[in-house]
Amino acid sequence: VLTIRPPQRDFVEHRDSHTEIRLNRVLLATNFRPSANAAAQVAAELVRRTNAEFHALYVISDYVGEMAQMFPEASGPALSRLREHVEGKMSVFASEAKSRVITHIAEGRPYEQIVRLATDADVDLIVIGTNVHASLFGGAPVLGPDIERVVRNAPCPVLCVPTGKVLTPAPVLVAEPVPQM
Amino acid sequence: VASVLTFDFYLLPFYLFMYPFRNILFPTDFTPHARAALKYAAAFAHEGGGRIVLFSVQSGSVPANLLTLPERVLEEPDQRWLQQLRVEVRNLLEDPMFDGLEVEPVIIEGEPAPEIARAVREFDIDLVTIVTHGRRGLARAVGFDRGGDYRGGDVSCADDPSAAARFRRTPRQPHGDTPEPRSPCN
Repeated sequence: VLTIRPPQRDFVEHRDSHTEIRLNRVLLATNFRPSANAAAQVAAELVRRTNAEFHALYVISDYVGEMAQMFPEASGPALSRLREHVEGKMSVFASEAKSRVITHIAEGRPYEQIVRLATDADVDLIVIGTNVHASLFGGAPVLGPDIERVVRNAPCPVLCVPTGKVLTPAPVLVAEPVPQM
Repeated sequence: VASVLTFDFYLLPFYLFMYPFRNILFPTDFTPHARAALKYAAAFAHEGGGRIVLFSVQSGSVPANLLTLPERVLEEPDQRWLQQLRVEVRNLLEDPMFDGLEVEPVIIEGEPAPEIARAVREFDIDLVTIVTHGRRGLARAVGFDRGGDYRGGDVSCADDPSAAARFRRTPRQPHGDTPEPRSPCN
């Protein structure tokens, strides 16, 4: 789903009855979860076909930092390990990508950081994965608050890529109930 | 003793929506606001050699042959809105953005959200273009069911109360060769 909120940065050029995609920079906002895989593939393919600059961003949510302040003994080292883990994931992502990836790791509110980078780097398109399930919200169709904030505040169109069907990747063992005497 | 519950759903690789997009749904209520998405739909269709489904959901019964109905049928007072609708569709189809593209106009009666969701499935849609003011949540505009599939929404008018007011509820009527008289709006 491509969401457009005019006026904003535009990556389509129409001239002499010819319409073209002119993407200079694409920003993939990822959390490396399975729900982000589809977005990563679509972003990579877009970049490959348009020769755009490929930016990838992971945001370490601000609540992790708050936890580290509240429980410095336990959360401080955890935050450090999370940073290392994310850096490792980003390195692997960049090395496996078929095109050059400019990686970014930010800390704060995810939507703020995504919008900030998109603004600062003059990004033409944000690509983001979605997997918020309506079943969690009383059946109301939702994208998730962070993605909606990104769409509302983004300086450019946002391509929301829904994941495939994600549920349990493995069978679940459920014990039979004990017969009542 | 344990029983094994195997679910029908697994972590599926996401190749269904892969780029380039072949089938693009361009929902519109024919307002200038909704038209902002046209160039994106057209650009992606050109890029991928795809086609565009020009999709509009109306509250009244729309004959399937709206674009080819004789003018005299639409000159009845009750059918003036269909006449206006046909003009809007034709005007939109003449937009130069559509040049060289395969465009299928689909105008149906119903509620935008479920009808768009149905269209996504029936037309094997890869990309839906949405315009939003960004003033309200997108919950009504975009939805995904629990499997992650697009559920559709009140797209181009999602955040535009004036556009939403264009959709007036009328009793559902069967489609036929000649349009049924439109009921007064509620």
